[in-house]
Amino acid sequence: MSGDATEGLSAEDQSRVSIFQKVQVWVDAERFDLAERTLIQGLREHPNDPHLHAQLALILRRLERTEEAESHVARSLALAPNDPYCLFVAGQTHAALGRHREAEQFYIEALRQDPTDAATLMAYGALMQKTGHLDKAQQLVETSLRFAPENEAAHGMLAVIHAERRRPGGQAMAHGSQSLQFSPDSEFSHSAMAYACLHSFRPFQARQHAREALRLNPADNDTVQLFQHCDFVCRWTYLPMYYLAAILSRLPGEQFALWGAAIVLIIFAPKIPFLAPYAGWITLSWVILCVYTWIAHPLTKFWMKVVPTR
Amino acid sequence: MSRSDRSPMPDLDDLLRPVLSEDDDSGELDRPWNPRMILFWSFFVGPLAGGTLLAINSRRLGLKDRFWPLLIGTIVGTLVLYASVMSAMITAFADWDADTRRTTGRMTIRAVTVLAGWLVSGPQRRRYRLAEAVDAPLGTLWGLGTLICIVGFVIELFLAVGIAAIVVKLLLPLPEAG
Repeated sequence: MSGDATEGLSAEDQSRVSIFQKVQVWVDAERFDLAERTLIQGLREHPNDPHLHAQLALILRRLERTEEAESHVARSLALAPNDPYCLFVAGQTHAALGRHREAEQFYIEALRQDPTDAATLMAYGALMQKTGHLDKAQQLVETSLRFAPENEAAHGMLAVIHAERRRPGGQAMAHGSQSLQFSPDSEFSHSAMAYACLHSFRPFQARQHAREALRLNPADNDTVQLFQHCDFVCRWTYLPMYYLAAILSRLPGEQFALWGAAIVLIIFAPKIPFLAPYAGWITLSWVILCVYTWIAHPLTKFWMKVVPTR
Repeated sequence: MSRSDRSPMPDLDDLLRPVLSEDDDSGELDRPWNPRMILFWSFFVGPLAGGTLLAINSRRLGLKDRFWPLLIGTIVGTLVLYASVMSAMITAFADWDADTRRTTGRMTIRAVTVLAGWLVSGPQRRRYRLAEAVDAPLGTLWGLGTLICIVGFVIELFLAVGIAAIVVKLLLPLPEAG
């Protein structure tokens, strides 16, 4: 506990700060059970502290005890209905429960109280990204960067958003690199970079970053899945399919563009003099491509079973 | 500093305008099918099966109020599409050879099916993306989907023959007796 942080505070406030500092230590160590115990003890001393209720709600959500989390969110909001932190936690809780519309209302209310809160701007941006409102997600995360320019999570989130938008210009890779620059040992930065690489025709680099993210946090299920996916696309049976899908995803109409063009070509090739001699080859090529796209996934899945990801 | 960091500060009122609706909540997802895959299958099995799959999928995606409009739209749309394409092929393009007419008619129906499917499946594509984002269990078209495709395809074959017979009877002049 730092003496500077509590200097000049009343005994009661010092006790609160001390509780939050202890909780932060347990959260950093991913000991949510101990964080919960500390907060419950803290609530015995300060039963009407809205921030303690809100913090406990966050911890209970991590422990997947959502009903209890909701009751503490309700209690914190009853104690401080306009408190930005309590509103932020309410948004987080509703978002985790899939009630995105309500989560948005809480985030908006929190930002009306404090428009400079980078954490709430980020959380709202993440919600927009999750629900597919990528323009707004980008605006929110970029705004959060104005108030916390070295936030690696914000750069990581922007890398993911730009990658998903599939716009040329290397923005996804640039933000991924910045995220890594600010926090080279962050699992999230490596995961975001892996995601950016996957959408920038760099599957092997993506696998490298996903492997690093997994090394930093081997227990995280999402990271395991990301690494498995990167390894999947790097298998040579799937690589042509990966590149084909990556190219098609940038075309208007995506795979339907290729599909429509091929059908038109197959139908009209015999009627066009300079294509007529190759009509059979065109059809055969299309059939081979179709067969490959059908079998690439199960074939690679089978290969992954025979030679598992290491 | 990246270019995006230097972009003008967005208007706060714009930024704080809510955009989410009930359709953005992730409750009520019941192993949805991939709407893009349905469009793919629709090309081969036709508008009736494709539209029925989209209608059922709207329930799986929690868009329950869209089930009946989609199903009724599919039935009416299939009848109108077959009737208009067949009458055009039989009357307006009567000078084309039979093979070209058949191919053009078939391809027109398939193209319109995929295009219409793409237009009406917008909300489904967004919901499916959300289902993927929240790691909801996803469904496969094999099984119930295949059965609907086979039944829909067979019904469409009979429908095509029936509509062709009606169009011929109504639109083509009968040969004079004697």
